[in-house]
Amino acid sequence: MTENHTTASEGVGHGSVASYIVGYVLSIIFTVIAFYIVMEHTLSTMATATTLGVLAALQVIVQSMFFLHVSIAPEKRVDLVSYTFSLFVAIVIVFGTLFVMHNASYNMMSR
Amino acid sequence: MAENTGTMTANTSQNVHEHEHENHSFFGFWMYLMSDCIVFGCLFTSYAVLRNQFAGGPTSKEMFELSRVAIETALLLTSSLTFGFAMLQARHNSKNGTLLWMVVSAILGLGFLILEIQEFIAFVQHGASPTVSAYWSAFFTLVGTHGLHVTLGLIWMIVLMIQLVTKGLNKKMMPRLACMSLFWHFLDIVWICVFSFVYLLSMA
Repeated sequence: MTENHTTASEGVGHGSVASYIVGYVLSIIFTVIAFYIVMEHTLSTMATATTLGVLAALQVIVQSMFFLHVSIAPEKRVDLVSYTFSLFVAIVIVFGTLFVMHNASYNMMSR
Repeated sequence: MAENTGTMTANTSQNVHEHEHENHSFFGFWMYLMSDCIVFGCLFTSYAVLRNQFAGGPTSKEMFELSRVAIETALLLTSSLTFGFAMLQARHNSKNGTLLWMVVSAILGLGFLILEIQEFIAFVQHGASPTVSAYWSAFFTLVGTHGLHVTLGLIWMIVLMIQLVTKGLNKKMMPRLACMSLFWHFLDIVWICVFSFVYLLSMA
């Protein structure tokens, strides 16, 4: 009974060989595109930066799903909430600071 | 919570206690990772703010070598995959399979670390040491902190391998391996941001 219970609950969202391979292949595709556009200089600097941001975000999502097993399954809800919250805090710190520092240097003419 | 009440009626209290203990340590480790994510967010922020502050010294564009970064990325990403396989083997109760994939992961992780240390030594030899400018201080703090995490992860992995060999794949090992795998995958996710926003963005 105990055995059954443990395997049943642990079986949810722990992935399989197939899901790991899917995550790995998707990661490789995103990484190769990112390196390619930078090495070949196919796009303008602004477009390259935007594409890099999008590719990185996609790859973080893919790896969180397939490797960290973040999911919307009810029994993993607490993990998802704390994950979303810390991601939110990190994003506020990064973009909030960049915004404030940009304005500071602009108004103080330090650049 | 509903799941735990279900267990309560079905099992002896000791089993319930053990299971809850596992869940708690797993969740506690998850919370640590999430706060670590914010630590890296702060380091990325200071790097982003100081990204042009070379103080007349060497610039990132002159120093970075993308081919090396590509190999580092491949090593760490593959290491993440092989540790996933180690976890799957552990769930199938195969001690040797787990050990095999852990050895592969550790070797790949070590390769990453050696390349990174070589890179840091080359930077310092070419005049880009952490004391040269605000940029290089921020760079070494951010990438160095990630490297330090990988180093500690490798030590942890070796300790777990020794425990696996001496004590076998017992019940206490599973939460330890699960926390280790979370940590290793998390480091790979941080590395995605490092190679995208530190290396590639500087060369764009």
